[in-house]
Amino acid sequence: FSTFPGSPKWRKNHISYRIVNYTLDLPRESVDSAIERALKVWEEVTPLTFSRISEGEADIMISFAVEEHGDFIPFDGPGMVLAHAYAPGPGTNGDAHFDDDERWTDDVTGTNLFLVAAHELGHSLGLFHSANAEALMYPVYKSSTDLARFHLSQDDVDGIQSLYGPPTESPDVLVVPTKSNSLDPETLPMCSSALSFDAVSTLRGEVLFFKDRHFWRKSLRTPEPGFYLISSFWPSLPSNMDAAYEVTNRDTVFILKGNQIWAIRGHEELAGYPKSIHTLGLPETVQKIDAAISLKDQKKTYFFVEDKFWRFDEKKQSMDPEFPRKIAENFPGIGTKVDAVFEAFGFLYFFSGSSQLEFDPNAGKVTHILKSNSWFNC
Amino acid sequence: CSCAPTHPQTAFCNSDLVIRAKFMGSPEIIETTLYQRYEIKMTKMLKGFDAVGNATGFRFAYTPAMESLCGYVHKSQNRSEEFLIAGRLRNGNLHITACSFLVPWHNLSPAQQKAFVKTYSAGCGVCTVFPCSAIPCKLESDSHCLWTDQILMGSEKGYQSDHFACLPRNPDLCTWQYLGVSMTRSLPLAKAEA
Repeated sequence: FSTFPGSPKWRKNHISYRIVNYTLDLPRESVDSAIERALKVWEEVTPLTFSRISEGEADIMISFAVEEHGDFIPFDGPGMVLAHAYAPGPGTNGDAHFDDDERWTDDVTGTNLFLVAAHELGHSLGLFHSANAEALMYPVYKSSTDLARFHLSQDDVDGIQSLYGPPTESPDVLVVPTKSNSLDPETLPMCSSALSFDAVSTLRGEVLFFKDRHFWRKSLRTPEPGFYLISSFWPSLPSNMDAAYEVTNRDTVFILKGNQIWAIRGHEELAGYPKSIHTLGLPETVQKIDAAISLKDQKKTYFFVEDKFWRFDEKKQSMDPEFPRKIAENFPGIGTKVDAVFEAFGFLYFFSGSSQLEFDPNAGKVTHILKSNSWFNC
Repeated sequence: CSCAPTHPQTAFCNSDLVIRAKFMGSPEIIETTLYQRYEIKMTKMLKGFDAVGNATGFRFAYTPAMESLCGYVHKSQNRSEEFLIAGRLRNGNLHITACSFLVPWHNLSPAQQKAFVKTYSAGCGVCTVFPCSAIPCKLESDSHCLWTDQILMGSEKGYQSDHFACLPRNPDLCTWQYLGVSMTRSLPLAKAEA
């Protein structure tokens, strides 16, 4: 953390604020509530208390404005600068201004007012920017913050307490930073937003989502997926698989793990497997496939490995020349960490952790970002 | 001061001026105003010829004096280090903020350097880098490219910032295009040999 030069701070513990005007982006109550919650963030870790006044000069005057707004530091239209604030002191000092050319929201679909306000009010109380990217006082707005689990970083707490000390109340009321949910992946419920998959494949018109020792089986027409042990269907298949893909005209699903490949047809486990993935023509340096998909129109199978992919010709049963290529070249918008991929309705769905990207192969672009479990109708 | 995360292409398109320049020393506070200015030595102009006319270059970069008011703080002491500066033109002066795209020129990959000189401008006014700030995030227009670095990588300095530009592929469609290699090697998935 850091403080302003000379460490200006309020020489009192009771501070007044006033919301001078409002953005039209949000109902007034939402603005009031966002500011109140933003002040509470600091109130909880200091002896400071805040009260709102509706007229006259408050210590912290909060306003929304566009471009030039009377302080010689104009805003800059949408994007870039979102808000600015002054260090503690009389007059303009302590005030916080919000750029009303942004789209302010109370969720994270636009610019979240609570998050920006909590940061700006940190300035109003005497904190400068922090170099720590986890800190609230880091200057770049982070939209990915989980609002329900928002908490100050230790750096923010140390900073504000260096100016005002800890709260005077009994320490029991101190809000301990909430630990992130460290659920055993095995027990992650299907509706957890953190759910990721090992592999996804179609099977005779249904979709199988593999995770550890289990899989969900979903028909695209029925709302609820079924949940089964992999071994209850195919005893010899591995758990924690790397990739799976269906070659429809052979009515076969291939399962990959490490440098081995298995094949199943319905309930049946095909003889002659597992065999080495190098029999497909992948080089010896490849010891693990991240994801795979076979496109029936092309009769080609794509193997994704880190930031590259290979293409296998199902008719010739051999690897196409001039591979690997960069995923970025042929699937722009898809990152370097692909967990699983499958095809539905002419789109390719790429899974990466708890996120899923819908890729339109005709347009050559990503058209939708979803949670990985979006198929489960949670 | 809070800054929106900005893709370099957006920074390029939204700036009046994009130059390469060296910082010549500590900033001087301009009395009576809230600003300070850095003396700079411009080495190249990449955008803004129209705006500037026949002016030869900029000697100063103006910025708010206070960091909480989005004042830019120059941390490097090295006067020979060249920076890429994307700024605004106000009253004939170059203005920068803490939210400006401002990085050492040599920290950019060759592909990104080329993009600032040439490639990004092809997307300005035509294509929009659309930041995804939450899931789900849906493509709203064919001229948009979904920017997913923040939600997928947890940082605005991600894969799409470093390696992609959102460019027109045909008059009605913008897509991410990889800056690293020539586009001629791309194989259109749908039209692959059947």
